[in-house]
Amino acid sequence: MSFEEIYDTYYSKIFRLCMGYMNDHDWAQDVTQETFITVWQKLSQFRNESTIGTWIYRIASNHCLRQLEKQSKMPKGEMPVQLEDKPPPDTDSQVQLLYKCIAELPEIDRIIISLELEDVKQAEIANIVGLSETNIRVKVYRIKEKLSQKFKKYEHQY
Amino acid sequence: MSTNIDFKAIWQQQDVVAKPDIKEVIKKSGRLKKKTRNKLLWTNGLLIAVTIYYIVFLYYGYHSSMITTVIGGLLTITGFVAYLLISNGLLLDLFKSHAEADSFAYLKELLAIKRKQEIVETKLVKLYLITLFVGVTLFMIEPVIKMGAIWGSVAYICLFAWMAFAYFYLIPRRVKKQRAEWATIIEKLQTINDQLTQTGHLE
Repeated sequence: MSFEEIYDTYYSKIFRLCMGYMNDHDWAQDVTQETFITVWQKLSQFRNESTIGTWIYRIASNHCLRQLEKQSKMPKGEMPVQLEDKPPPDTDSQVQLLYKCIAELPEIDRIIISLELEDVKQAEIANIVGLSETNIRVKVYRIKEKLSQKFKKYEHQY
Repeated sequence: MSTNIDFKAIWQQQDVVAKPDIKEVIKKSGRLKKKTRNKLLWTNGLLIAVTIYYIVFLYYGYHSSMITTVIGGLLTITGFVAYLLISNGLLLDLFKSHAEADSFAYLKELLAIKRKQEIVETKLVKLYLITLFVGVTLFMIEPVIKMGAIWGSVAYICLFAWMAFAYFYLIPRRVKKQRAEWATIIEKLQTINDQLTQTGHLE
């Protein structure tokens, strides 16, 4: 698979994963770009030990995790008002709500549920995150439960 | 609790921002990286060149004959070069992470890197200052002998005062500030790591 094909196939998927983690359009776009720069730099080292998808998702997840270094330099609460996330106005409210609920989950749960919603197989998620498949299965079940509770709670509020 | 909401369908509706021209992004990132690297090499190269020039100049200028001058000069240069290399992260292997590893391994790697950085910054800075102190003290013996007792004493008092100020005030202040920053990052990394390690009981 050439880099251009990878970029075309995975851009939306990686962007959504980053959005699930950060719930901030500009930030998610930056991390998506950083991910593809790494993919471009390391593509020649890819040895088919995993599928290309797993490999790319791993890079993206780790780029997301790395953002905490930037967060600690500028905690979100201290961001200037104009930099706060403003989703595009045409985004459906249910979509906004879902991403808001996901953003409230612990970091690893955000990655797991984003991958699950992206239709990545649980065996592959296990490979990306570094947990066993059984662990992932249980976690996905629990995260979905938590997500449903949050989602319904917010839906009642609005 | 029912989980009958079709999250997958909602998830897929997320607007994806227009794909930027990735080749352009890569080019820009490459240019930026090159610029940063060149700037770093240029600044460090200049600093090293100036230090070496002055030490060599002083050495030949005073027609040095004492071994302490040579040892002092070499210690100062070695300490300075080593410090610049480490503080600028040029020893890449020491701080290299593998973004293609699984998250569990990657977090462990990040934690190890942060701890290594802490050691390098706190312990090695002090070690550097001691090397510099010993180096300059040795290097100055010969010129000070030629200066005479009064000016020689003034030179050494100034040197000791500056070193004491750096060692007991400047460095601890810098380390304290950086420690707070690292502690926040390490704590966050540890929290995420715990999210992974505490899942063992789920099986």
